[in-house]
Amino acid sequence: MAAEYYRLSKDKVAELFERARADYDVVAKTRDANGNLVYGRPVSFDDVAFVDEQPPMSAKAFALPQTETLVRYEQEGDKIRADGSEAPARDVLLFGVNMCDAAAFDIVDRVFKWDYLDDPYLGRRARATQFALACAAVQRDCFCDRISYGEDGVDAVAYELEGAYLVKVRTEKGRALVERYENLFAVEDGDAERSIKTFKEKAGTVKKEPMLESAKPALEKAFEHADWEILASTCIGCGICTYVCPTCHCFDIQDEGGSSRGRRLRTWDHCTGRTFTATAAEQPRDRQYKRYRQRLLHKFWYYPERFGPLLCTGCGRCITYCPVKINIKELVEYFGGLKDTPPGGARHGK
Amino acid sequence: MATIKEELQAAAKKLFDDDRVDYFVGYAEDYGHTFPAILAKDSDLSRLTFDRKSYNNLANFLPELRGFRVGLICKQCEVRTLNVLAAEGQIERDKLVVVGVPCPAMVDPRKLPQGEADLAALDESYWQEKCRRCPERNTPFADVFVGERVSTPTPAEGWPLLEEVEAMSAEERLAWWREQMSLCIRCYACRLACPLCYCHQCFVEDNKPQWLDKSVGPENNLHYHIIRAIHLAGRCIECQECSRVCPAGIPVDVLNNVLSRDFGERFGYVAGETAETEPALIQYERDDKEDFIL
Repeated sequence: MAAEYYRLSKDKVAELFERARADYDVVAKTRDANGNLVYGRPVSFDDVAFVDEQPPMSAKAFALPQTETLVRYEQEGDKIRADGSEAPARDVLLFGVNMCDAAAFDIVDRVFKWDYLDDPYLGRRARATQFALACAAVQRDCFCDRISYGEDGVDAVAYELEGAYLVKVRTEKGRALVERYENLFAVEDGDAERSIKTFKEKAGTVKKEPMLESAKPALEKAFEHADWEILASTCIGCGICTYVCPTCHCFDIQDEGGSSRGRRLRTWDHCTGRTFTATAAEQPRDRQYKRYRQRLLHKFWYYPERFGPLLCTGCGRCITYCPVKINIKELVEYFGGLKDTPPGGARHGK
Repeated sequence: MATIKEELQAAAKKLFDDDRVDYFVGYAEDYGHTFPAILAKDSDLSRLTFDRKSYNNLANFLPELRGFRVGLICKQCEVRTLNVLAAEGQIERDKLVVVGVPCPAMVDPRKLPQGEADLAALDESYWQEKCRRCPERNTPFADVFVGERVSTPTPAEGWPLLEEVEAMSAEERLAWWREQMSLCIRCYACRLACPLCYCHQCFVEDNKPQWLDKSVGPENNLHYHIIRAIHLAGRCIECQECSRVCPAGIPVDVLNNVLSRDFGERFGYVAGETAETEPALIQYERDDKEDFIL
């Protein structure tokens, strides 16, 4: 559908939130017990955090939970009962999700419907509406301005203007949201795209050359580069970068329980870990730097080769939460020929 | 007067020029962060630094560099770690050049003020807890010492967060831990950031038999954390890296602190206190308290 533009007055947002809770399972930014920002279920509108900062954990768990039961089975005498995974009971509204998280779903979808249609994942995606809130300022470590993804996969996105939000509706799901609460939205009659452009210029989120897509040709020649080892050997192999990443989607399938009752489940897994694919055989990459290289090249070479876009939205979480602050953007620039100096100065020079 | 940065860079250069090391492990400053860097002879040393965000316990990189001659920046945290690793036969001391530094105390990343701040000016209330307890700010057995020695303030007593948790009733405490554990994503960064969790295969990685389910949940998560804490009994040197790196903000080290405190109070034992300190679990004194043995 062609994009439609509406205006949502700021004093109507609380009402929108409350009314939406009757129709949707509303997920928004809020704080957990430790004060961390999370995508959760705020108890009231006052608990919603309207901040640009990304929560440590992205929104991907609403399509791909960290642990999900695929089949639960139980045997009693001759009878065997097996239940498949449960579809979500209600429509989910991701309210005020960051653009880098919202846009990630469209990228990850391509994997889950590429040959095999992954019903649990696609089922949750079908029930979710993404109502994004565009950042008014660049956040620490993020680099979305260097990756050319746009608004694909985002149902509606709000840009904060003086006293109101300019809401750009892009999909039928987005339109359904606006139609449901139509008395809260007014049709935007100004030059909306011009206002959005001004907003982005002020926020510093306008795309800047060279885009990281342009690193691919050089990355394809850099697999054996002598500096991978020294630059990526500080990687400790935890899964933080992949677990906080909105686009990393590798998983493991495990069985728990015994012969008469148990479950088959799917859990997140990560290529940077020592036991990745150990269920099938073994981790084929024997050194940590090779595991790190795999993550980077999957995002900036292998994935775009097959599916088109980069497997990255530049949210910067993998830098912020990395225990050793490995910077994927800097490494892509270095190995991708966009920059001559290695991050931190480490090089082998052999 | 040369700054600590300049002195460090000169010291690293000299180690390479004199062919004393293959790698120099320190902290680099770039893209707004201070982070560990492994540098080789041809690396650009101009980013080397040592500041109040030099968090990582650099001893954690020694296994990766086994077999090489390594220059390692050692603050008190690394010193105690090296003592434990040496007692456990894990390092080749003759291949290690200990580069001593005066430690300015690290700023707790969770207490960092928003925006630009003069890190050097931040007082004790901004420090990591370990720094308030630190017994010696200057590396005691440095092969090379860089910078001016600093005085060490009287170490703080007690374990504030542990005492807070212990003041709870058993029910409250269980609820608190359950809540903390429900936030854990089992990335195992606490284990991997720990220089004393050096097992090639951790029990959580075994799959024949599989000791721990891979699914996340408060019980599985707590199971992991308790076993890790016990594996570090009498070994943890309280560098707090486990808590610092936790993306969920779980104060993981509270579990380790219980054991550290008990070793101190019951046996007068401090892990890695000196280069001669033997591993706690192979020591025995006739008057060791046994009242906790069932």
